[in-house]
Amino acid sequence: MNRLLIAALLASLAACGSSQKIDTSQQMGPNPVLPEPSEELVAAVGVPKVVGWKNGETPVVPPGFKIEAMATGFESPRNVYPLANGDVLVVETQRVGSEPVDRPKDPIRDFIMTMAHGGGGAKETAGAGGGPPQRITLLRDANGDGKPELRSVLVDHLNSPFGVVLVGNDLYVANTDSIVRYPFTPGQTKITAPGQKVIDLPGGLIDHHWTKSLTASPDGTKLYAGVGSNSNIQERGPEAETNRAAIWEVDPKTGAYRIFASGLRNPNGLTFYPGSNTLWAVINERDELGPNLVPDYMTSVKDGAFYGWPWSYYGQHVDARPRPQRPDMVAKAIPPDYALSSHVAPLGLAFYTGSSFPALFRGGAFVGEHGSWNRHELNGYRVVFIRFAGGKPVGKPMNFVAGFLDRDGNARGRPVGVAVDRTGALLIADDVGNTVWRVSYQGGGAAPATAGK
Amino acid sequence: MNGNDGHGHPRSTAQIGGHPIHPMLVQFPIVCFILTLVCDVLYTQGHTELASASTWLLIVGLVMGALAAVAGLTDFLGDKRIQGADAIKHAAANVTAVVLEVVNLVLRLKNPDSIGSTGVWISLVVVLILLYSGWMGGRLVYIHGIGVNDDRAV
Amino acid sequence: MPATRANGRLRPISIARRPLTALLLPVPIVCFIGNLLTDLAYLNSGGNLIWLNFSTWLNAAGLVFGAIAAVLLLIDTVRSSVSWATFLFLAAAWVVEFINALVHARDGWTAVAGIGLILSIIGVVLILISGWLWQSVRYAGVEVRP
Repeated sequence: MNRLLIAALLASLAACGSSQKIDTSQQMGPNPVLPEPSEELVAAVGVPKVVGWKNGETPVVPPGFKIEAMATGFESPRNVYPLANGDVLVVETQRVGSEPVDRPKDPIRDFIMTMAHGGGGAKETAGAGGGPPQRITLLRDANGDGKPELRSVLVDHLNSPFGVVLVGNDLYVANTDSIVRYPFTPGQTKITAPGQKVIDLPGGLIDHHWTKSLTASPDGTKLYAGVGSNSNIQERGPEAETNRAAIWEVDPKTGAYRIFASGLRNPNGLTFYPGSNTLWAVINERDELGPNLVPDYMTSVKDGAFYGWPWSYYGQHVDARPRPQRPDMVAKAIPPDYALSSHVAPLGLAFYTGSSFPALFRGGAFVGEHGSWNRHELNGYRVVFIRFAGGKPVGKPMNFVAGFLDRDGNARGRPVGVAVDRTGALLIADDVGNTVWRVSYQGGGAAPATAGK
Repeated sequence: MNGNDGHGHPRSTAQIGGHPIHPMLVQFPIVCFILTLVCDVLYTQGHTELASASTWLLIVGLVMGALAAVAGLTDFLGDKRIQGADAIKHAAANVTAVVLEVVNLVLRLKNPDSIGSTGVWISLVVVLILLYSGWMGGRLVYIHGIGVNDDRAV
Repeated sequence: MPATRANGRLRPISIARRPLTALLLPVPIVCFIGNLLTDLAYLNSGGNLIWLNFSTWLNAAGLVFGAIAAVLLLIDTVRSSVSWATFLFLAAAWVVEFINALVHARDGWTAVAGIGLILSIIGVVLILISGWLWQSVRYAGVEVRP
């Protein structure tokens, strides 16, 4: 009798709660459909097996475009930063160590996450003397043909770096626990001078969302760093979230900082809209409310604004889980500009500043969607393009680079950071494919199809 | 034969519905004190957040232990056949364990950092004592048959 | 020491006459009751996460040792052909507390408020019934040697 009971219960576990039957395209744009939260008994987990790229395999781009591997043989490249002289910086980085265990769920969740990154368990030591690389590599492609002639490690033994920005002759690197400045003149292939710490960033033992995105104001006087939360929705307690889930504005000369905007669960891809003083970012919203909640988004970031995390999302949609509740903060929360659909995990954002792509791409946004874990049906695992008009996004996202998943739903690669190089080509850092891709326009071909199923 | 003691086994005075109460209650201090040791060992390995867990486990264990002691004493006084060497050894060991855990609780309430230096050792000694007193308790039930009722259908 | 009792049934699996289930069953009983108490403390505190974390660990300890106890009890029940009730209530408690573990894995208030607390209560009731029935078997079926 009990065997039947157990079988029936297990069957119902799978069925429990998946009532958010909407199409992902209904959650793309300024007014996403937000279904009721559905807390399943077993959170939907869809983590593709990492298989990598076989010889000759590449992702897929629309007609008229070409994609090639600009450089391979990396270990977890997560960000690309092209310089004006044609050199490209590639940031190889990983999380170091596993999170402290508060409850039995923690090691189980961490194990699933490392499987999603193609590894067997978190690495224990940082780059120096064993452990995965934590460094910035320079690729020199002087003639712009997409095949670098030179490859050199620019700076090594960093601490889980992610964001990087050059202001004049100062190269700023955002490690997970600090922003460091290096003297750098474009043309250099190696930095031997020691870095100078500009400011500490929240790191620590938990460091749940550890990638610190970095950019500079157009006039170069301020740095902006994305500091993700230390939990999904504050389940490690409010003290662990001090100064997190926010964008910091840092004065690089004095090391002073202020919270520029808050309530942003995991902001990345910090970029100013070309020709403006408006900061944009892509944000990873919360998990375990169902396969179609809460949509990740791309938004302009208003000075002093609060965007809801952890107590609400998309304005005043209250999350019942964090306690004590804060109706005062919920009342202040503003909704973001543009939803990307749920669990796509956007980690890269770049506005098209080149001229080699067709006109419709000028001023539009490319978003690197690392891909979902909290859904049975995978979402993301692509680079999308969103057209902009008058400095605002219009229409639905178009799938621009796909094919990161193979026909069986395994991951050959996963896009992270994106950037536009000097020639107007799009560069993509692919962390489980260990490749930097380059998309160039060859001419001819129709405009790319719109996104959605 | 008196009452429902079935085949002449010593009867448990503190019982409910034919079930002796002392074994029901004694589970709590046993498990709580073992878990206290587990938490203390983890504390020494760096999990300092478990200090409050072990404090609560001690409090619950001592409260339930006091109730278990009352039930056990009731049984002891209620049937002369129980008042032998095994029961006395069992009781003496348990009283020692309880006294040690009271000391353990007081020490860590005054200074939580003392868990690593003294608390974990007291917890360990107590668990060892409980192994002995639990063994004696087994003798009381399975050798002396206190509270056992063979007449009842299984 | 004959493996068969006078009434023709096999003894429970034991160490020196002390049944192994006697040593193991207290752990899930105490742990699941503890889980219920920490759940109540969590709700009472308005969401102090330390109580929720304690709940998940007590629940997990109860499940691990409860599983071992259930397996041993199943073997004892089959070998000695005593009533299945004790094992069935233990198994039911375990299943309920397993589902409870999944609910308690949520990140915050909804881990306990509502279905989480209800499952904790049901699990405790079921395992207390199992413990009561087990005690009946033990105290009625033990053959002692003076």
